[in-house]
Amino acid sequence: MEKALERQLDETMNNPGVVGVLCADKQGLCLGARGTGERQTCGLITSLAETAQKLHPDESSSPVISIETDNMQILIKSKEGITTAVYKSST
Amino acid sequence: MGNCCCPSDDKGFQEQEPDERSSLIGNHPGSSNSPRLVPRSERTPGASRSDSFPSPQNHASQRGDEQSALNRILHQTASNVIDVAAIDARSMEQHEYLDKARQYSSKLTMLCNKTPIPSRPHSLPSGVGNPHAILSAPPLSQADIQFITQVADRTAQTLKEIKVKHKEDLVVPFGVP
Amino acid sequence: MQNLERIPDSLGYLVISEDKAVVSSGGELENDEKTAALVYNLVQKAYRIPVMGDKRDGFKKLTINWDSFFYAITVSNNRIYVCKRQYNPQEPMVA
Repeated sequence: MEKALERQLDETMNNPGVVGVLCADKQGLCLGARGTGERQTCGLITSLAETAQKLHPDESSSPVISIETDNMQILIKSKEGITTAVYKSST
Repeated sequence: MGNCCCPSDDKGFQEQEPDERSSLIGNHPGSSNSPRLVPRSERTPGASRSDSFPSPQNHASQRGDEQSALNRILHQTASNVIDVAAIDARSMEQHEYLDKARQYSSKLTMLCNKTPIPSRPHSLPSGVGNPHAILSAPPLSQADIQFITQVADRTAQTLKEIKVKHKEDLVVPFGVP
Repeated sequence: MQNLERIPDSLGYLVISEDKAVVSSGGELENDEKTAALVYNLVQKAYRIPVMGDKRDGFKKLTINWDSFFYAITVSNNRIYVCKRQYNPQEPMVA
């Protein structure tokens, strides 16, 4: 029953520069992982997205979070309790 | 029970040092003091064991077999159930309580001394040289924002479509007469 | 610290020390300890996300983006620098 999700993760990986994808539920449990995305990171990612929402006066709007390191960029966004993270290589 | 971490129940009851898992409530209704189940062979004297072909006499003994098996399961389950309401509320005596407290704290100190818990001071990453330049950099591009928003939307959508395929009934009636 | 105010489109700034205290602040984030605490927690989580496995990859920047404004966050010399900036996308929307 998760074939559609698996397909969606594979499609995301096909975008230029994408080297990893992670998908977590609202409890931080890993729903899917590809490439450099490690399953254990899902808890951190969900927690990060939850905390970031509190920075806005309207705490229900979910922001786009970007973490940049020397070689990588991670884009994170939550929608309806599901948090998705995409790893893009900047090299 | 069904837990893969559960210790085996097959330990002998006699020589066992009381540890944190040993039962505090000794005499509950279902403990081993309950009357032993009378085996089938004693109950129906002269009945032979049914082997292969069910014959009129064997039908009776088969039903007897099932009956005794059912009774055995029932008694086993009953002995595992602890009826809290039926036990007199007996609290631990003072010296037992102090004994146990001492035991547990000594075990704790033993463990604490073995593996010291490292106290981590608040740590931050090494960071960048010029924060002003980093913070002044142009913001996230519209393309990136649109991309991740789309991916998040599509992922949430696919997850909504996950449905359970009903293949068999969960509750199956057995043919118990 | 003052030059943080000169960041383009800046709406406010915060500088937070490694023990969560506000070192300096200005604009909309003046004395905003609640935001400081949130940002501190965010940084603690963000820089622990493993990026390249065993290869060392330095944490540079964290941005939190909404429709009309965003927070740009970085670390330098054991201090967290935060700037709240207006978001004015220059490029046309990709169809």
